[in-house]
Amino acid sequence: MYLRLAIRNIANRKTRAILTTIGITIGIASLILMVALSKGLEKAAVQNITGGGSITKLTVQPKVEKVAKALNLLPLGQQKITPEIFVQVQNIQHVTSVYPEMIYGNFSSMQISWMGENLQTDMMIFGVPYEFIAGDYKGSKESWDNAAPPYPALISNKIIDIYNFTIAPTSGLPFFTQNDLSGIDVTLLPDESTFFPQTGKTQEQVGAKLVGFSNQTSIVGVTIPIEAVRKLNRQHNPNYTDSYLRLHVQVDSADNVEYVREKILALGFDATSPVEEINTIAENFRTIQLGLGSVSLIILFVAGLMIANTFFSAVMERKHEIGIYRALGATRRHIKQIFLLEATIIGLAGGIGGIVIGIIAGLFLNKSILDALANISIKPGTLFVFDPLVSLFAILFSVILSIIFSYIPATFAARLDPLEAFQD
Amino acid sequence: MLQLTNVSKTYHVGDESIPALKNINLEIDDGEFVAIEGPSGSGKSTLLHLIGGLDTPTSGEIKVNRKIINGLKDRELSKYRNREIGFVFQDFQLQSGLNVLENVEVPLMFATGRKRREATIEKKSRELLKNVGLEDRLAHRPTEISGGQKQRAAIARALVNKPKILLADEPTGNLDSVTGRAIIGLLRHLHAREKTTMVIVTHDRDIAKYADRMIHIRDGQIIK
Repeated sequence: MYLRLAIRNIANRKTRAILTTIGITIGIASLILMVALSKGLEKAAVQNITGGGSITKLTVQPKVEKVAKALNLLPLGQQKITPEIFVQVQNIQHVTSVYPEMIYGNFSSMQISWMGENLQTDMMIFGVPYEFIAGDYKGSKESWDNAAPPYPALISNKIIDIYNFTIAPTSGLPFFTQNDLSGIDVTLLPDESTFFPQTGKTQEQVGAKLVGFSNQTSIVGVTIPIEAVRKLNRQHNPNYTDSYLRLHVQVDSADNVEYVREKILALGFDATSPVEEINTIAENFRTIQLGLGSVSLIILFVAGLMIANTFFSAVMERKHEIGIYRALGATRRHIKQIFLLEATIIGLAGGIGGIVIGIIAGLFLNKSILDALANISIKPGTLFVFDPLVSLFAILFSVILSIIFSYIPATFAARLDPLEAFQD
Repeated sequence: MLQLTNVSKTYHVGDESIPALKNINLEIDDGEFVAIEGPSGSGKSTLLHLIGGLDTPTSGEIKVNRKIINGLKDRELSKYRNREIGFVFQDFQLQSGLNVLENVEVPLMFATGRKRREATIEKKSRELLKNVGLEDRLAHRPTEISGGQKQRAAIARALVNKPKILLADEPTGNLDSVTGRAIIGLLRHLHAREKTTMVIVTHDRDIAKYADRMIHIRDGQIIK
C-alpha cells in the first residue's frame, strides 16, 4: 500500500519527478560511462602490452639507467648479452624458451619506391629467429632461417598507425593499410643515415621484401632473419663478436615469472615483465578512475541538491495532504516513510535509467570511436568495459543518495504540526 | 464515554490572545448521536479538533473512555486518531491521486499490527464502501464522482478502522440540501448499525435536528 501510495504521489507530480530523475540519471550515466571508459582503456593498454595473451614473458636486456628505461631508449651500453649469457638464461628453471634479438650495430636506412618516388628513412635493422615471429610470418622456418637476399622483412604494425595518425593527415597523404605495403621490395642501406649523411661509407645495398607485420617486433626498425643481421655485422665490423640486443624469455607459468626474473637479475641483467608494466598502468588508471569518478560525484552531488529542493517544495505543496494523513492517524514515522519511499523510487529509477543511458552512450561512443580508428591496425575490441558490480553499486549509490538528500525534507514533513498542516 | 472538563483554548496571534473556547464542560455517552450547532467562528470546529486529538487545549481535561488524551505523546495521539476517531470533513479531503477504494484504505495503512495486512485492508474497505452504496465506484478517482459520493467515500474512510467516535465537521456544508439530508440519513443508518458515537458540527439547525441531542455553542461557550 505504501508503495502504491508513493508511486501514485510521484505519478501525480510527473514533471518534477522526471526532472529530478533525469538529474540522477545523468550523474549515474556519467559515473558508469567514465568508469567503463577507464576500465576499457586499462584493458586495452594491458592487452597491448601482453600482445593480447601471455603474461609469462620476460625481456632481458643490459642494465640501463632509469631515464633510458623510462624513455624506452635502446640499451647500447658496455654490458653485452653474449651467447654464454643466452645459455645461462636458457638453463634457468621454468624457462621454456629464449629467443635472442640482434641489432645491426651501426646506422642504417631503408629505401622504398612508393608512388614513383624513392623514399629513404633511417631504420634500424633487427634480427630474430623464426620461432619469435612464427605467428606473424606466413612463410616456413626454412625460408626465414636460411634466407638469402631479398630477405623476408617484418615491420611493426604500430609504424603504420603512427603514419596514419600523424604523418598522413597533416601532410595530406593517403592512408596505408597492411595490404598496401605487403610484398613490396625495400632496400636496406647499412651504415647510411639521412641524419648523418657523412657516415655512409659502404654503399652496400641489401635487398629485402616486406612480408608481414608484427606486434612483437621493434617499432624503430625493420626485422629480418637473425642470421642475416649476424652476417651484416660480421661483414661490416672486423672486431665483431656475437652479442644480442635483448633476449625474449618465455616462462612456464605466470607464478614463476618473478622467480626467473630474480635469477636473471642475479646474472647482472635487467629483466622486465609485462606484469610490472600492467601494475604501473593499473595504478595510473586507478588515479584516472578516481579523477573521472570525482567529476561524476560532483554531478551526483548537484543531482542530490535537486532532490533536496524537489522534496522541500513537495513538502510545502503537500502540507495539507500531510495534515490529512496525520488526521487519519499517520505517525511522524509514517510521514517520513512516505517521503523516503518516494525518494527511493526516484533514486532507483534514476540509477537504472543512468545505467541504461550509460551503456547505450558507451556502445554508441564505442562504435563512433572505433569507426574513426578504422585505419589503425592495433585497436581494442571495445573502449568501454561495463562491470555488473559497478552497475549494482551505482544503483545502490543512487538510492542512498536520494534517501540522504530527501531525509531532511522528510523529517521536516514529519515534524509539521498536524492541525497547522491540515489547515494549510 | 467522552468527557470534557473546564476545557479552554486560546490562540495567540502576536501579542493578541484570542479565546476560542471558554471553560467547556461536556459529556457524551457511548453510542450517542450529538450535534454541536453554532454560527461560524463560535468555536465548534476547535472543539471537534480538540476531541479528535488534532489540537490540545490551553487548559482543562479531555477524557475518552477514562483516558486523558490531552498531554499524550505524538505517537500515542496518532494512534488515538487512527483507532478511536474517524474524521469526516466538510470538503471531503479525499486524495485526488488515489481511487475511492485506495482512499478508504489509507487509515488502515497507518494502523498497526494485523490490520495492516493488504488482503484484510482491501476486504474491509470494499465492505465499507458497499455499506455506503459505492460498491460500483471503487476504481473511480474523487474527481470522477459526485459531491454526495465523495462524502460517502469519506464516511467509509472514517469508519474503516471501526472507531469509537466519528467526528463530522459540517458534513453537509458542501452539498445541496437533498444530498445533505441523504448523507445525514446515511450517518443515522450507520449509527444505528455500528453503534458508533457520532458528533456532528454544523451551523445548520435543520441538519442538527437529526441528532439525538443538540448542543448550542456561541462565542466559545456552550449555551444550551
